[in-house]
Amino acid sequence: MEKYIDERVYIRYGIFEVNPAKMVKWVKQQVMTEKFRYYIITQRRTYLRWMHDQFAYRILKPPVKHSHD
Amino acid sequence: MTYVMSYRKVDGYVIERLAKIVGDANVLTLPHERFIRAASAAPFPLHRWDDHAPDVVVLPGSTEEVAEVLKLANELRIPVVPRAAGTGLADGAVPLKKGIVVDIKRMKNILEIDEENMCVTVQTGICNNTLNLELNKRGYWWPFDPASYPCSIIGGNMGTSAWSLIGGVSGHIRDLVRSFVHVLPTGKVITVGEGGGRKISKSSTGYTLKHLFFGHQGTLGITTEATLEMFPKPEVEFPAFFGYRSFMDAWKNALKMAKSGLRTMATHIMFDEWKVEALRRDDEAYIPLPEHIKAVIATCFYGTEAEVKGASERIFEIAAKDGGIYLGEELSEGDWASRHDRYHIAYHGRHTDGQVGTYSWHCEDAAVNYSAIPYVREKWHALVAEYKQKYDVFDDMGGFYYNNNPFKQWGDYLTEIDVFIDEYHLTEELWQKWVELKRKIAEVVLEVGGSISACHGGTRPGDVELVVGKELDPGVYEVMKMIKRNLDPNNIMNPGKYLLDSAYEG
Amino acid sequence: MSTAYTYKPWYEERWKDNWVPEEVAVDCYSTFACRHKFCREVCPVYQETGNEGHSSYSFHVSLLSVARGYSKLRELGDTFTYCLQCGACQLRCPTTLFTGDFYKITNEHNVLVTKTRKELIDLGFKFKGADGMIDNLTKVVNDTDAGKLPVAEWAKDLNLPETGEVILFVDYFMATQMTNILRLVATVLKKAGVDFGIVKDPKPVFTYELDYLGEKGVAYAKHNLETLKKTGAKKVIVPDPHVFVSLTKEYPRLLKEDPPFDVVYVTDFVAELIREGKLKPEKPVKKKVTYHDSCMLNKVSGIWNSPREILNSIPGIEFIDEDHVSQWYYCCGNGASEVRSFKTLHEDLSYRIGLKRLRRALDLEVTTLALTCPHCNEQFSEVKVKSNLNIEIIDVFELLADSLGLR
Repeated sequence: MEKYIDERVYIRYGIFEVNPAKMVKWVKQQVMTEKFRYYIITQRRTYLRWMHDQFAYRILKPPVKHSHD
Repeated sequence: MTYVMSYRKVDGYVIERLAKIVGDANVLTLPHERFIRAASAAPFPLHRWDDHAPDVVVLPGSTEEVAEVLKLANELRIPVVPRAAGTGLADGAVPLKKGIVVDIKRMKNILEIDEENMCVTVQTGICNNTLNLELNKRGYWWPFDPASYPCSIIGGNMGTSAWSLIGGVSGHIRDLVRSFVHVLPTGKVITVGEGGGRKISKSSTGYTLKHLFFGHQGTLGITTEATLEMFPKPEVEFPAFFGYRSFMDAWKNALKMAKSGLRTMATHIMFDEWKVEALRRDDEAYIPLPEHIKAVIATCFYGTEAEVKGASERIFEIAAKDGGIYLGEELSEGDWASRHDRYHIAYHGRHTDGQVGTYSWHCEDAAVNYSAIPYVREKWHALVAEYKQKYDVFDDMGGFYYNNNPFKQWGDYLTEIDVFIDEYHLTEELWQKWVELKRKIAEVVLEVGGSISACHGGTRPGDVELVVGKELDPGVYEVMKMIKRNLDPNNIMNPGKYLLDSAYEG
Repeated sequence: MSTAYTYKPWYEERWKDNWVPEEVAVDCYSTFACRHKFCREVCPVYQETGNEGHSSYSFHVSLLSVARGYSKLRELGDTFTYCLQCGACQLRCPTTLFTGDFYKITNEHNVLVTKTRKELIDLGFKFKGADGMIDNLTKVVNDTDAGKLPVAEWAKDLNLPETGEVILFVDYFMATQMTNILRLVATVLKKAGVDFGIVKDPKPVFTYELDYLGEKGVAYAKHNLETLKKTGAKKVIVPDPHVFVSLTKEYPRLLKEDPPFDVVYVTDFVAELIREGKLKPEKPVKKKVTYHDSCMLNKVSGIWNSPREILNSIPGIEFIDEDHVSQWYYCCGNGASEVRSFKTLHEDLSYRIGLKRLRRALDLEVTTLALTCPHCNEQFSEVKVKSNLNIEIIDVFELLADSLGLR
């Protein structure tokens, strides 16, 4: 399922991607499976958690009344 | 009398002598081995790549080998350019007169970890991230966090007097080095500290020469070992990002944050409207910001849980005073952890036809006082827009305004505009347009009494003439020349940087 | 557009000594544009040599210097031997890690290395060790074609069919060189009541090195794919991470075809069996263990949970874990080759990289290093012997089999 956000960015299967029409002239996209895109996202999430670990033992949560994630 | 530089060409004899010092395997002469070491991370005239490729690269394995190479360079009169990561942003590592690149990265061991005196001694070829990972294993922290943290190297951090995103709690590189082993341009080896004690962090014996060797951009020798501060690893980290309806709201709020007195605050960073727009276009955290958010302030805190908890309540109160809206845990945590990586992706730039191009992300960094920020931001964006309009090789990825102050949040800001440059399609004419744009960007900073570079350095074309000719006190530049002439009598150490060839003129 | 395979089409055109296709040059420029070399620090080879030429950045930029006329391809041979294709750099590259899913373009370093070596060899510019590498491959090819490799021997007394909805697939390496572990895998599956078949004449997969063999390589890949289709497999279980990468990535890239079956790594499959109660590890195994993430499994395939899950399910084990992102920095030293290519190119480096990993494990004060890759197993066993370090090298399935009372 695709959803066109604006002429710059799409959502496809719940993941953002650049409007593919923007990558035809100067640089081309490679051929890529959806599975591979999920692999990248999973790896990125684990990397971001790891990056926090190098600077402190844990992340503090925001004051209760402001936490609405 | 005009000084005419004459250096010896690097030929077979020179290679032979170098091989005797560092070993055959550590003398690199093939074109690609040299060309990969021509650039720093600053904009590069790729169309004239060979102008900056060194004649030979050596990989020394010890302080003694570095000293011997410099002695040889003096004997034969050959330029030497030191290279750590090559991630500097002021061309410190870019040879202007070819010669020998001394690549220090074979020397990257941790020599000693002292848990009682809280310091770690390293060879300067070690990377910040790699060092921190080692210290983490024992519950310690190397708290130096430049944007290049995952890849930059201590020797280069010292050579450029680099800056830390979290300098508000733990200072910048010059605050984090107790002493170091330094090879002077003549090949003489000295140990430089506050005074004479290797692990002493503050003393008053002798001249404090330490800071002379921070930011010299390799013109005053090569540092091979350093004894660094070691911090206890913080209990907690707390990143909190706030969105504002206008940049001016954010700017007003920033001053309140700066004066908050919260000691665990590592930084507060303003993102201007252009930056927020660019992030809407392609944001690694992929959380679209609501349209009414025009600017952001990113804050982050480090310390004990008790201290940070209190600070976290206070920062929300402060943000609310100018309509700051908390952007949520996912964005705050994700964006904060992305702070190093977002810079280096070539596809963020757009041509004027809206097509994705391949651009090198470049950030111009000035140090500007709080009051001047709105003005500088407007002038800078107008300049880049003008050049983007005329020449398709530029793009504007927005501005950041970071706390620049060690151990506090008030004073000046590292003001940064992220200009993209399509080096792949550069011609000499377009390159000169870049230099012109750079000069105009620097002139705005001088207009408001700032400094052209907060942390990268002022050695690049476009900058250096203004740094030397207008920013620095002429008396200061005279002293610089005296020092350069005396420490490097044969002008072999990164010659040409800071226009210091003028130090040798009649 | 969702497709069955992932690759850069512009990597397929042939090169010359002084020319690469424009898209390759642009690709290499986009790496030059970064100039930050996050890739450098995660490279196990760079960590030993301290030479920044040994990094994905430098490989790409070296090719750019050829495209721009400053170097010749023939000069790059030696530099390009300094890579064991562990996959750390192409994953760590921000172009992959941060925006690979957004722009749909990533760093494909492993493929680039094979491509460059192949071009060098085919253009007649043999680098040092190239002959050894090709000889190793050729020997396995010849033995395979002559039927000299006993690739079905390991199962001869196990009465396993050649058809089934679940097929356990290995190639010659595990079938002939890690037979004991393979048999333990089969035994564990049987214990859980899984009905599965095997393939009795697999061809070598060679992972990234299949491309060196040209038509022969394609034929081998087609043979394996067709044979697996004929078994009627809906699920193919793979206990060798290199075979896993071949089936899930290299075959689709080469043959432009998605396999009509699911490919599951054996620890994912078995962890599920444990969760479902079909396997009950009950006998305590008293060891202090740390786990080494195989590069092909962790970095390239994104699988790190299931081996840990299995270790955690075994009573008696004191499991000292090191997270899988920190392990991006590690490699056993063998690299992605099935035929010891990196060991042939740089024997000493391969040893030192493996030694560093074993020392790191010993830092954690464990008795045992648990693995789930037969190539890591071979490599660490050799390093252990050469270094005389006191650490047990063991496969996760050996520990599991012990706990299940299977040996």
